[in-house]
This record gives sequence, C-alpha cells and structure tokens, in this order.
Amino acid sequence: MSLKVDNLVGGYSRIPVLKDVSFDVKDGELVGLIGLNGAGKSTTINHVIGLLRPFSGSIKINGIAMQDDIEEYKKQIAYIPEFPVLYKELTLKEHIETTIKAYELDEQAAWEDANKMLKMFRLENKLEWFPVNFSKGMRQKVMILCAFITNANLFVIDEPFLGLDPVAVNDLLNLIEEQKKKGSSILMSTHVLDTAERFCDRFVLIHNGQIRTEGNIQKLQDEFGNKDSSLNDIYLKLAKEESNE
Amino acid sequence: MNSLFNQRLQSHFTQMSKYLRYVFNDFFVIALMFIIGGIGYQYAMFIKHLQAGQWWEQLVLVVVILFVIQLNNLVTFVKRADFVFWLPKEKEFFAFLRSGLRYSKSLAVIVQIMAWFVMIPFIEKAMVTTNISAILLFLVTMVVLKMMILNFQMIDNYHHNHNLLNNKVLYRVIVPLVVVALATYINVYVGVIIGVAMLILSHLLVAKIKQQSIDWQVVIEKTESHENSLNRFFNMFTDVENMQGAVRRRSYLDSLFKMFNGDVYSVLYSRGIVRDKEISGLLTRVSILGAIIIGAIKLEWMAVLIALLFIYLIVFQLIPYFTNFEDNVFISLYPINFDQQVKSFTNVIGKIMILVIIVLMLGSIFMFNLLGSLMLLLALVIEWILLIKIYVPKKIKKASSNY
Repeated sequence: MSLKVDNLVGGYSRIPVLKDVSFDVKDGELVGLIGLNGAGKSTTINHVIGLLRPFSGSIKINGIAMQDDIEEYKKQIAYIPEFPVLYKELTLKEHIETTIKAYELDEQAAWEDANKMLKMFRLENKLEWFPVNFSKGMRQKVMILCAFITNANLFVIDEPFLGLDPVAVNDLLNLIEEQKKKGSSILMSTHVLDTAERFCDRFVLIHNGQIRTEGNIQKLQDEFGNKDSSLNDIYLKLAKEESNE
Repeated sequence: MNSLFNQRLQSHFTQMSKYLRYVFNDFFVIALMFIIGGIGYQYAMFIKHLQAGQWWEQLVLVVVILFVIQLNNLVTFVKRADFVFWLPKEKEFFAFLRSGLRYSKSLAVIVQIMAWFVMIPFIEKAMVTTNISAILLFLVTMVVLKMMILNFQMIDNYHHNHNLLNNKVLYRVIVPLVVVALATYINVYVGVIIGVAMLILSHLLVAKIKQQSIDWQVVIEKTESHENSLNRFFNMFTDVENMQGAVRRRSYLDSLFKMFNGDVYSVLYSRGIVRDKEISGLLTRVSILGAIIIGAIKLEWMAVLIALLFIYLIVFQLIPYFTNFEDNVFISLYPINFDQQVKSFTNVIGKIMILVIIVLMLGSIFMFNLLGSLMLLLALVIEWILLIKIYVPKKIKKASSNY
C-alpha cells in the first residue's frame, strides 16, 4: 500500500480546513482527487507533500510518516504543482541536472528518459533556453519531465491538464500509464472530468474539507443516481447539494 | 549544498554590485556626505555638552541597544522552486539554511561593531566609565544577543512546536531587554553571562531542529519579502525587474480612502499605495523618522533642510509607482487617456504628501518656536507645489515618452 491518509485534520492556520480525511492510493493506481473550488483538494495535496503539518491524523507513504524520517518520506515523492515553479536563472538542461542531483538518479538512465520526453514534448532543441520564458503549457511540460524522470513511488500531480495542448495531455496520460505499470501510485487533482473519468482507477470526492465519497465510477454512479451518469453529472449534483445547504 | 549556497551568494553579490553602482551616483553621495556630516556634528556637540551619569542616559542606552540588535534579519537565498526540486533532500537542505545563518551572522556582527563604535562615547557617559573592558563587554552583549535572535529565526523556519521560547516577542524583545538591563543597571558581566547562556541554549535548539520538516511557506515568504525590500530600495535609483510587493488588507485604513477621488486611477493608486506592504511601511517609517529628527535637531536651518530632503526623497520614491499596474492587461484596455492617469496619480500622491507634511510638522512642535514652525511649513508647502504640480508630471511624461 503506497499512500495512506488516516483521519487527517489540517489546514493553514489554527482553523482546520480538512476535517477527518481518510483515503489511500495503492501501488500502481491512479486516484483522482475531485471537488469544487475551495473544497480542500490543494490543502490535502499540501499536506501530502509536507508543506503543511497535520494537526492530527497521519499520512504515510509505504509505511513511513513524515515524523519518522522526513527525508525517507519526501524521497518517495515527485510533485507537479498547479503553477509551474522554475528557477529563472537556470536553463532547461540545468533544471534536469538539478533533478538528477536532488533525487540521486543514475545519470545515463535519467538522461535517456529525459531525451525521450524532450522529444515527445518537442523541447529537444530548447535545452539551452530559460524555461521561465516559455508559455504556460511548455513550462508545465518541463515540470512534468522533471517529475517523471525520478521514478518516485508516489506522484502528486495538481491540476495537470490546464494549458496543455491535446497532444501533450495524451502524452502525459501515457507517462502516467507507464509509471503505473512500474508500480508507482499517482494522486491527481483535476477539474477536467471527462479525462479523469476515462483514466482514473478510483476517485476521492472531497467536499467542505471532508471525504464525501470514494470509489470507482460504478460505485459513484450507484451512490448518485443512475448508471448512465457521467462523472460530470455526479459532480454537478454535488454542487447542487452544496447550494441547497 | 554548500556549493549551491555559494552559487546563490555569488549571484546575490553580482546583482547587488550591479544596483549599487546606481545607488552611489554623484548626487546621492554628496547628499549622503552632508547628512552624515551634519548628524555627526550634531552628535559630537550632543556628547560634548552631555553631563555624565544622568538617570535617563542608561535608559536611552538600553533602548538604543535593543533597537540596534533588531537590525539584520536572517537571509537564506531560498527560491520558490527549491521546494519542488529539492523535495527529496530536505535534511541536506539544513546545511544550506545553516550557511545562510552563518552569512547573516557575519553580516550582523559587522553592523553591531559599527553601531557599537558610534555608541562608545555615549556608553562612556551613560556608564560613567572609560574602562575599555567594560565598554568592550557591551559589544560582546550586543553580538551575543544578535546571534541568539538569528538562531531563533532559523528555528522559526522549521515546523516546530510553538513553545514559549520560540515566541517572537520573547526572543526579540523580552530576553534582550532583561539581558541589556542587567548589563546596564547591575553589572555588565551578569548580562554577558546570561546572554551567553541563552546563546548556547539557542545553539542546542538549532542542532535539534534538523529532524523537523522545513516550513517552506514561511521560508519562501520571508526570503521574498527580504528580496522585495531590497528591490524596492534599488528601484528608487534604477529600474528593477520583477518588482512585486506583498499586499496587506489594512481594513482600519478604509476610511482614509474617502479623501481620494473616485476615478479609476485614483482608486487604483490610493488602494495600491496604502495596501502595498513595502510602500506604506516606508512612508510611515520615513515620516516618523523625519518628525523625530526635526524634533531633535536644534539648528533650525538644518531641520528645514532635512525636512525638504525627506519630502523630496519620498516623492522621488513614489514616482516609479506610476507604472505599477502596467503589467495588468486591463490598463491598456481602459478608455482613459494618459493625461487623466497622470492627473489622478499626482492627485493621489499630492494628498499623501500632505499627510506626510502634517506628520513632519508634528515633529517641529517639540523644538521650534512658532516662527520657526511657520517657516518650515512655508518651505514645505512651496516644495510641495514645485514637486507635485511641476516636477512629477514633467518627470512622468518625460519617462513615458522614452518608450
């Protein structure tokens, strides 16, 4: 079992945003974290990557919690933030080299992977450029590339599709598929529901800082009405529930 | 990690040297010489006529030392992207942060020595002593306390359990106050010993913090605010790239907005200047400092000169704010012509400068006779008219015609 979140209570200041959140992501599984704006998706992710410290509850990756050994915990994670963050003074090549150094990757193997992705994302002739000046989509590709050369156990991906062209979305999904086959777990938050519906193995629906429900699409369909409803229908129903509250 | 820190330090120095060339331009150097000369002369006169061993002198000494040891914050040169790219190396990042701590300490020691050097004659008067070792021990106290504060700031960069010791007021004010008061009123050795004990304690706490996780949000926010204040300073002398200030809501100042006009740019500029952390902070600090200096200086012409200089410097710093909203795409879409924008801008900073003048005039109440105050007011009003009505619009139009 790769990522396990148990009874997590947490947030930014003293006031908890997340109230008793529990879910897991198993090896080789892609779990979609779904919820309305402000539901607590990003807060959950910030807790998983160790940016925030839980008030109570636990987060474990392969049995290791952050309090046990901060470095062993974080070593297992690769993170793609919603908005690309890059060094303005480093070239694309130097970003890749930094990642290799930080994750202590085998240089040759990592560059093999990197070259494959560079080609896939049509970035191979931009190695000496500053990615800060790229478009949002291209910067996002750099973040994806740097994350996917790491062979991490857990990929945490925040809203990855925004700004990517359809080809790149497809490429990203292929990369995720590849990592799943290697046994890595992926936690992904997104609003692009039709894509999520087709590719995620399971969904965690978060609402007002609590897990509303979780399961695969069949389970959600059973819970929210009829068999033909799409993830989009279920999501809208959830939104309606909120406005009726 | 050390090489990474050295790289960052190197690029920091490169950038500093690039901007410092603009800071120390001829005009500014001359102004600076006059200011330092004037203040130095006043200080020398003040010391000369000062009677040793008056009751308030030790009190002033304690307050001044407390103020001096607040100078220099911990700098880390962390970048936002570090959190993502160095995610798996969190423990080793301790070495990076520690290098920052060492760098901050060496910088702080230099500042403390310089401040202490200036203070020596006053310490002699206040403590009624010329004993070198006693005066030196005051330097030791200052350095020890400063290092302790920096150690605690380092701990604040980590997720730690908020116990009493890590309370900012405690380690920045209360502990130093107790130590300095002991050194001044009881015995300087007692102060030094307690200070050293606190320093050792803080060292032990820093060594233990390595096992904790870094509070990246805090580290990044602090570093960026430090960078911003540096950039804001350099921006007075030249154009700095990537200027972006932090914003505070300050709802208690909402009633202030009634005095500004309601057109688009007046609203933007007035809200912006009041809520921008750096600018509003700078305005308050400089005006209060100006008021104190005016109140404290006995030479009338000198006070008038300094007041004029302060007003000029403040206006000069506000001018770049004209282009603050240029990155916003709406600005180029609004159907408002350039002259109106200039008008709104000068209107807003004109009103803000009136507030500044009022603060400066409050300072003059303490030292001047009525005639002196009126002279000062007249001088400032004339300067206000020249700056706001002629200089600023001209300067903005000239700058924008260069594009």
